[in-house]
Amino acid sequence: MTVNKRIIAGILLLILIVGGSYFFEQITKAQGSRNGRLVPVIQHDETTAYLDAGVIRQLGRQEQEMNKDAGETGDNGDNEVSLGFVLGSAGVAGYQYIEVSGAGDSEDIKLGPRDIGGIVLSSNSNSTFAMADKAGGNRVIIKEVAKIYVAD
Amino acid sequence: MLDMEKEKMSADLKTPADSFIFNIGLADAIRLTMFGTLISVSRFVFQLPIGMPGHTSVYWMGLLMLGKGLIPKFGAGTIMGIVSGVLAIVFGLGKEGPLLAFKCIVPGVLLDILAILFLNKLESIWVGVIIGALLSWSKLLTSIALGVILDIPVVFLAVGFGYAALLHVIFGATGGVLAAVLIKRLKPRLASSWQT
Repeated sequence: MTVNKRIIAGILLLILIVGGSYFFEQITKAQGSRNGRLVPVIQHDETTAYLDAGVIRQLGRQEQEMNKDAGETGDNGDNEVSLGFVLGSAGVAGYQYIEVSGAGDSEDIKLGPRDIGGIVLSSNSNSTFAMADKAGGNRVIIKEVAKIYVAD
Repeated sequence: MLDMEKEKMSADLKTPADSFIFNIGLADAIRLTMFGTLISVSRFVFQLPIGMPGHTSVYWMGLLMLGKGLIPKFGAGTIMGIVSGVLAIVFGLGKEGPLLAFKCIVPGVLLDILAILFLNKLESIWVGVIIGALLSWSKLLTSIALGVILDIPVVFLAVGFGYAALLHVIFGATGGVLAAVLIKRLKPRLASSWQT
């Protein structure tokens, strides 16, 4: 094979690599959203943040440290973080309501700014996270969160 | 018998390290070490706060290819990769810890293989584009693999992967072009003085 033919093959390979990378990203994101492992926070029809169980754990630790610094006790568990803190971290403010969808056939839940006070997100063992109502006796509202939509 | 041994010994003394490592002489190994050091130092010094993934590939892949182009021996890329990897750990570049060395070694090893596939014509602009882009992309792929090893979910690693791949390819290709131009200019001048 001459060098010119190898160059043409190389350029085709590069095109394939870039196209394949975009394809891989789309497929993985779609799969992750479907099984609740990658949860997009959508505002103005654009994804403003992605959440996963690791992020929830990390935010939970941050919230606990902030509460400790502020001298508040905070009643969240080790793998829990309040929904308000998560939304604030994602840069979401001044919304009318948020709509949280679950993986599979679970119903969508609408929550206004006043409703999210006792709501927490807690990581599951299978890299997903659940939404629970702390004020209502730690009742799990959505077992595996799949999408958070913010409406202005 | 004694004469033969003496002759052999004197020949050894004339060329004490013709095959220091990977059939590469000591002089070339030292030059490659210099290139490896330059790669790490350039990454350290020229890291720009422009928020574009892969922009270091311009000088990283450029220097890697320049070293291989000027010392076209099998193993040259690997030596530069190992040296830059060890130095990257020493300098504390990146967030991967000791695993960071793989990000430097993989493009080096790949360069040795690709140079053979492209008949060592690293002075060609198009070969520079292709090899530079592939090396840069291999670096990105190694980062993803390290992320998987470090237990980061694949879905999170995949976010922005297409954009990052495109930028890595562009910056790597740019580095490859620069290297090809420099190899074309420097190789004839260094050919006589850099012979081991």
